[in-house]
Amino acid sequence: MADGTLLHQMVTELLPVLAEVWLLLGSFALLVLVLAGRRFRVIWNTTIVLILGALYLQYSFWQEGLAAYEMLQVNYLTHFAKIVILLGTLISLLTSYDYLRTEKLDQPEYCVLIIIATLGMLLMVSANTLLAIYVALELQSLCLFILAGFHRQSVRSAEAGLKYFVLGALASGIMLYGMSLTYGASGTLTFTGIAALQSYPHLLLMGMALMCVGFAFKVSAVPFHMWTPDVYEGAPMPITGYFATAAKFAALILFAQVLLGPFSDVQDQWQPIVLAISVLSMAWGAVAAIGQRRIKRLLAYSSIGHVGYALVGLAVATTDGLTALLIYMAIYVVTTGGVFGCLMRLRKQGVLIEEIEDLAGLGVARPTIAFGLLIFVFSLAGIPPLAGFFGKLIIFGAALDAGYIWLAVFAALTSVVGAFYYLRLIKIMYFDEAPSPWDRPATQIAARMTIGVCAVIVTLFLLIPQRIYSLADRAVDSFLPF
Amino acid sequence: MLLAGVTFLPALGALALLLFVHGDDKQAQRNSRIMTLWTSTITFLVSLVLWTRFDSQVIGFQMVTELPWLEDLGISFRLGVDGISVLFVLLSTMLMPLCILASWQSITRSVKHYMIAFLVLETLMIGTFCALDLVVFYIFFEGVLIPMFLIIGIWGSGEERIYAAFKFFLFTLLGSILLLVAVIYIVVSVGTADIRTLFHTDIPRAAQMWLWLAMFASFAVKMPMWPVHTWLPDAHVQAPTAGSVILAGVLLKMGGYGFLRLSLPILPDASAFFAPMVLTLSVIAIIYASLVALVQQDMKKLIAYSSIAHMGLVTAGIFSFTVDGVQGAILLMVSHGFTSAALFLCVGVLYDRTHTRAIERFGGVVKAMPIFALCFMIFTMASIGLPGTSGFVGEFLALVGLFQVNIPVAIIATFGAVLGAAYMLVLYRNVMYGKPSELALTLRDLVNREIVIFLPLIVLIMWLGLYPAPFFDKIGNSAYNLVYLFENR
Repeated sequence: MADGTLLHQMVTELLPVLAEVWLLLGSFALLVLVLAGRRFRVIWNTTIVLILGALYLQYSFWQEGLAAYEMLQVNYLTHFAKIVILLGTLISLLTSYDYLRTEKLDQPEYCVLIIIATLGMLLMVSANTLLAIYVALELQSLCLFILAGFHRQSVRSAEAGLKYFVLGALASGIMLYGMSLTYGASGTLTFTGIAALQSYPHLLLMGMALMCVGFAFKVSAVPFHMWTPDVYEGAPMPITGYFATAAKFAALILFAQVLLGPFSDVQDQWQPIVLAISVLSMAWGAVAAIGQRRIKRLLAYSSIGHVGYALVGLAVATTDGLTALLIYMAIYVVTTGGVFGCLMRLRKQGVLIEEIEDLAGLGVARPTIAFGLLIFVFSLAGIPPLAGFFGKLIIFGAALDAGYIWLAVFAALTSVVGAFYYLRLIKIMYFDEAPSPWDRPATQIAARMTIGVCAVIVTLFLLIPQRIYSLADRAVDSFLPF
Repeated sequence: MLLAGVTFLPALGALALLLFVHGDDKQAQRNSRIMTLWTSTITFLVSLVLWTRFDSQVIGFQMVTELPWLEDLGISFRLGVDGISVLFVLLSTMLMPLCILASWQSITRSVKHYMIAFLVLETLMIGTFCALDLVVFYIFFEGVLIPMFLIIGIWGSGEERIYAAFKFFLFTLLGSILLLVAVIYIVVSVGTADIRTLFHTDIPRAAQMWLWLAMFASFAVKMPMWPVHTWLPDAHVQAPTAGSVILAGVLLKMGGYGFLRLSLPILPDASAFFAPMVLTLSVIAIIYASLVALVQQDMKKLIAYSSIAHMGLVTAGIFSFTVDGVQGAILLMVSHGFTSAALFLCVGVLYDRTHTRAIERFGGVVKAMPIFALCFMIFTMASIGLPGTSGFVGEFLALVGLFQVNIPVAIIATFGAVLGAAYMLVLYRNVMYGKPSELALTLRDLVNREIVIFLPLIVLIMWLGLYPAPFFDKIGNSAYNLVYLFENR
């Protein structure tokens, strides 16, 4: 009888996080398939099914409340975030099959690691205690360390993995130290416990600041961005895309939840920190990208800049700001996913192109894919009527609504600098002549469809801004019900 | 519905091109050209219906379409026209088929994409003139950058086309991103982006100043006003003929339209405060650009500088805040839309035949191309503002408006008209008369396609010059209303 109640209790505690449970069990099943020596194709399809299943479970069976003995919370914000994370994962998976095949990276471990990393991200955004944050974050990070160095034949990939591991471990250490200080000062690990504190001793504030450092590292905000260009460059292309989309999105949502949740009463303490890293990221992301010659490094700096814009939404510390952050990052995930999807298909003499100059002549030689890139790049530059513009519109609106006129003007000016290097990509693709011929590798229909869907979403976002805004607004309302 | 139809018809055409025409062989190129010509012609015909349905007795906006869009931020998809916008819509739809015809033979690669870019551009231009919502206006206004950037960069003719495309894009973006901040500021502080509501909303004077400057940054670059005009000569020289036509014929008017639609009625205090500055810059532009035009060796550059001078008179007319001045500015913009488009087409005719635009290479062209010389003459006279042509009406009214408020400025601006005559006549003499150069004797006169392009322009120029009443009928009430709104706040 006692066992029965325990089981019953477990089920009720885990019901709100059904998608996570599904992924966990799925990863076990996947491992069994691996051990059974199934072909990569089978493992791959199973992975897709697992992610789709998680999406379905998340979409249909989510319910608000606490889970796993108050370790996790589920509300509409986490629901929204999980859907985006799963979609980002799906985009990066669906576009990468041919890449993995050609680069001989089609090992089953890849799929298992992706599933576990995704699980870590889902748990991250649901975390309700400092402990859960740390465990989820590490679950995700450890998988990503390995994935960054997954290209074992490549020195740069190994370097990326190692660099990411060393620096990531340092950041995790700093964050853990911050958490322990917080715990020492407050005596509690739960978000609600910290939020209910009457006074905030200096020790706790120091803990919070150190946690901010850790988060800034994870979202690659200046001045903790140093690892980003190297790791982006060295990691296999789909993994870079995964870093830039799902991983970044999850870390940003977690960052926002921690600051606006348990630490909302010390807003005056963290606001300057976030403002500073936001401004620095926007500026450095725009300026440093200009001199880049390699595509992945350029995209790394571009992602740093975009994190800067998203952090504007957090820095103003309003509900509108959080709404803006959600929309901005959701758009960013789709756009960047599309960019990486396109890049994975561009080969010359069997080798993936690396230099920006290699894109020359793409507009004539492969018009369809070039047109896709054109849409994504203009969207990243925030030119109307593409999706990226609406992200900027809503972010600027949140900043101006909160009275941060200088911040909006600054963001606007850096976006002009940013436009310069995005235009350079367009220029090379369309205005320059191709020095050498392009390969025309056969690509899975699924990959092409995915890129196409991303492009359509980016182009036709203008038809649905209100729907997305309502969703994000509802998410924020369920998280900050005031 | 009619309005939305006119606005999105070209975009539908572009979509059809994208989906149904494949490849870049002869047949595909032909299909793209014909499809685009049909689309733009039908759009023009529909806009003629718009013109006849337009009731000039009504004050305010007509045929308003309002669709829910981003209500949480006070943004809706609002379209509507008054007398000012309907004129510019007609100008855009009228020029577009001519542009397609002008690029019939000169564009030979990626024809499909070229046509798509032009159709998208048309939708964005019409949308800019119809938008009744600040954010919608901004989206159309700014979206123009993408197709124009590609048109200059991909199908441009010069060595410097990439530099010119970048300069065009970044100059305009720098200006308009500040406009975006101003737009969002107005939307979040007033709570709506409806331009009609904003006409009757009082914005605090201090805020007006900053907002006005931000808008000014955008519209001044677009106009372009001295000293941010430097992108224009580069862009014109490098762009293909049709690109120059649209750039001079329509895109420049977006700046003037922005002043009329947003700056004056929404920010009247700041407009009045900054008017002396605008008048000064306008006068500098008129004199400076005219003098620079006098010494140009490249025909396109000369016409580009003449555009800057004309636009200087437009801004001066607008910021005289008189009914005459505003009406004059509007008609001047329309007339300039005809004449500069025509002049660029003329240069295009010569360039297609000789692949040079250097004035010194020509001379005595009249011997080989008498019909062309006649057309060119009419357009030159219209550009100078000879009575009986369209240029005269607008120029005269703008100057009348200026004389009512600021006589020194008006006198200098009048002097600019003399300079205008000087550089245009010098251009005409050097190209058409004199000893025929070897190059000139080999030329073939206008073919039927080119005559079809020039004929409507000649008719319109003469019509507006000899019998401008229908035009006044359309813009009269709107211009009065604008000045009334400005003065009674």
